[in-house]
Amino acid sequence: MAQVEFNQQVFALEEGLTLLSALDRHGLNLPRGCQAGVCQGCLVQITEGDIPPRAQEGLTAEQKNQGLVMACMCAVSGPLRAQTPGAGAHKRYACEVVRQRWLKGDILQLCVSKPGLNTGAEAFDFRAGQFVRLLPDAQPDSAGRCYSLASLPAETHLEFHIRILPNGIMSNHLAALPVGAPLWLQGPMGRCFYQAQSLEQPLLLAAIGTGMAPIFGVARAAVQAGHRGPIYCVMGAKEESGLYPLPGLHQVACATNIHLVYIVQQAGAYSDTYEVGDIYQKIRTLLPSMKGAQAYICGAPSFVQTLKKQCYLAGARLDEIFSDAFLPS
Amino acid sequence: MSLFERIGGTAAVDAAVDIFYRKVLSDERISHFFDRIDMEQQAAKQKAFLTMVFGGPNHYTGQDMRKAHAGMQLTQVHFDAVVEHLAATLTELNVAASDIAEIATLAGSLKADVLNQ
Repeated sequence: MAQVEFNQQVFALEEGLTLLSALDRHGLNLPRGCQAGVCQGCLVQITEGDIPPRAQEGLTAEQKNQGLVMACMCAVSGPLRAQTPGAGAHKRYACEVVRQRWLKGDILQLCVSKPGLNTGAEAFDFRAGQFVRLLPDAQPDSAGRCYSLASLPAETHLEFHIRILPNGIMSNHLAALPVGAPLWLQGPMGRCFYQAQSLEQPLLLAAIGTGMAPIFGVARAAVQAGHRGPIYCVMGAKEESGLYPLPGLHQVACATNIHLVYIVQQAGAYSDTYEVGDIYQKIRTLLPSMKGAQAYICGAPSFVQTLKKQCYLAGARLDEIFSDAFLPS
Repeated sequence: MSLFERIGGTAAVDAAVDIFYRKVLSDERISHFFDRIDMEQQAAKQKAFLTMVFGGPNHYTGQDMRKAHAGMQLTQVHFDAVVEHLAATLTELNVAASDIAEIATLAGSLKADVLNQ
């Protein structure tokens, strides 16, 4: 018998059985599909214990990193701690407001202290391009909202670009916080972070709206990693008011392999500072074939879905397309 | 050696899904069936389907295929399109003609379930 903790409940499971069927015997029927290690319908997250390689065959590197396994292929051979994916997987960290600055009209740059930096608290690790949930208080049921990280891990603070919505409870709360005010964050989440297979691989980085902050973070991380292949960084908006100056732009703009494109659907007063046109068409022109290239996509769900399909049909492998869709909140 | 092993096992399924699903989505006869479907989830299903017709380990049955395609009003045209893309995918991956024929037979045996006949 092996002691297995699943969602904080302890079971004595028969060794040799799969995690899926062993839990079945205790009346815990996890969701499932093919039961043959293919469909990934029975994914669970292992937080402690040995993972048999077969249980992760066919999963992405990021899924493996998170300790995800297919329960139907995970033979129980010793003590394990497991949970439903995502359940309580994200730790909470305390931080405080360091700086606020308006980047443009309704877009606020918010910088907060990095948990664990120069303090004894647990360090917060993330990859440029990921996002966190910012919480206004430390209550267990605190709702909060998700915001993308615009800073790089090596920087001394965490940076967010926040669109202040007229009726946005959280965004207005964040805008009104004084320097030094406490804030909590949960994460990191998201799969849109630099993970090129080689330094020569062509990269498409595309964003609309506040998806620009994480995508620009990926661009900076790629430059910092010494990426040599062409990097097509395409930032789009419906109107020119949707664009905003990205802090740190000079750091990447001097890299010769970066092609930075701002594109707006409808021309405005400053139409000499960006291109006017359709972002999908622009990307098709820049990268007629996506074979062997990677795509990183952030923005509204419809944009992410459409561009994902376009990139795949243009030859990119599905597991080389990384995207995060953001709903306005 | 089983058909599944001859083709190259799980790695071959991954390579085939990538090519096959792209062909399916690019085909006007059938692409609209996939318009509102999550691509990752659909790719996982394609993987299960290809594992099945390659004779690999799976628990899919004719009944599962029937349930998955019920109410879609599929016809012979749609079915043929998919089988066509399957064969073209395998040809692209340099699978032997005799193995392609065996896979086509396996796929053909699912026709009644897929077309709800």
